[in-house]
Amino acid sequence: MKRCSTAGWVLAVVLAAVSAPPTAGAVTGEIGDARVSVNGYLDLQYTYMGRLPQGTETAPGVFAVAPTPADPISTLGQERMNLILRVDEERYRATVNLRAAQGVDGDTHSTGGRVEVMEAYGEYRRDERFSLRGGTFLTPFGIYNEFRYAISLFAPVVLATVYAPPDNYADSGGLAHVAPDNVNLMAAGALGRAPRWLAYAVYVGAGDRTATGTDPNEDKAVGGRLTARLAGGRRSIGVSYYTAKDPQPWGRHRHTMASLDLWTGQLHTESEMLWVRTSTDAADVFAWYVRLSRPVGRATPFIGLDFFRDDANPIYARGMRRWSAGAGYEATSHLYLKAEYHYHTYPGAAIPDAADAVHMVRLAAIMVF
Amino acid sequence: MRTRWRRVTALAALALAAVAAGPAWASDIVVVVNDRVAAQTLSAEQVRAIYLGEQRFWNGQPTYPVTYPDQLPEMRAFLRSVLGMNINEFKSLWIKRIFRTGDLPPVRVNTPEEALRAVSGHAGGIGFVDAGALEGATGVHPVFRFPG
Repeated sequence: MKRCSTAGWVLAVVLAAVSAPPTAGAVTGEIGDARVSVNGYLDLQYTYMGRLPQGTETAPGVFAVAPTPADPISTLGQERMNLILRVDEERYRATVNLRAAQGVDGDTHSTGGRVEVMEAYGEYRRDERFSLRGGTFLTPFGIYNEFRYAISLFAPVVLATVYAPPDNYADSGGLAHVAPDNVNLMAAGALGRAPRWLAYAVYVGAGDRTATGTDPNEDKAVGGRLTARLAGGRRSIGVSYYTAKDPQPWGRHRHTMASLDLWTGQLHTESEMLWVRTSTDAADVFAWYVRLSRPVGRATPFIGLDFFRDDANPIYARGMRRWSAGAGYEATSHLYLKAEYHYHTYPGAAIPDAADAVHMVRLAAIMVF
Repeated sequence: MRTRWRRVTALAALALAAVAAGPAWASDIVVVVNDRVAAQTLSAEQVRAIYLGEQRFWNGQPTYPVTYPDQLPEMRAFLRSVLGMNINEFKSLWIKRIFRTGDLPPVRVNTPEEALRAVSGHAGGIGFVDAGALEGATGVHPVFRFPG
């Protein structure tokens, strides 16, 4: 019953999106003085992943390598669905971002089949220089963190710095503190005239929550971001900081990030570097990636390299490298196709041989409106 | 004799081309803004920043840009001459912007008359119409002109 109702709900949304005249990617209308819009994101993915090394948590925050790697994964299914509702009236905006995480087929995944409220916030926008947002929303931490729910549209999957770990990564534990949690109150704005901007954001939030929704933190999470856009928007340099004090084993953790986004002719370079320090120093994380892409007509081929090191987990303690290549193709302004290949290595890690060179292939058809 | 005939032919061709093209202003497209917008002129770069979502306020009001369906000649000319992109690039840019920033794309109307009504009805309104359609319009004033 649950699956039928969710599938029907998704189908109704998709049909509405296809039948309504889109305005450059949004279904919009006006009710009185308010402007109402509906945007959505829906994908169909095929994923193959080789035999990843597995970790087991032997004590809180202590991990060991499992003697055998995970079985290969080969799945075809709908993975992500988001529906974003917005109401704008002059300086005020309300946004609700609904998702069916891990697909609408709820057989195997913890959140599958349920529609959740991913973000819900209200916003007052005085002008270009100042806005105030309250509610629950993704932390504006790096290039991708704000829209990681639509990550396969924008980037190769599984970026270290926006970690939305596959199930077998999450099962190995220890990665929960890599991505900043949602925040709840933010002031943001941009200084200077377009396209030369200095954008800022300062925010505060509850930090980690337990699975039951309680907030055991000893204080609040705080952070901020500065982004300078130069050369007519063709260069962007950003720095971010986020800290929260969560229950043991991690205690206080401090996230520091730097990002670079630049165009050289038609060549687009995106890179981020993340450093997470924990109070014990035993679970520090250092990660970075570089991605190069160049539009060729409707296609955008890319290559990339990720590095991810997690001191708490012997699988990642010496750094995992992920080499990537692939291409996105814009079939229409509402349909994107993507093919990606990733090759993972774990040099120096004491893991089973079979897990030391892991291949991953992902094909995706992504519909947006 | 042959030379004179050639000159006459060339002059006739020029005259025909001029008649066919009509007056220069008739094929121009004009960017208009709501009368409450103080600016009397805008540069192409400023218009572009508004339509691509890089400038979202002016004079303390949210901008309210207006566009047309893809097939209208005004839309094609605007994309080509002011934004420097085709319709797919424009849509693609806005789709990504919607997910990244939460900003809404320009409002789409079907005719120049609807565009003028929308611009005059919103304090931050901005749109573009054929210069001929501007005659008699109230509540808006032109700030930029480009060839159609």
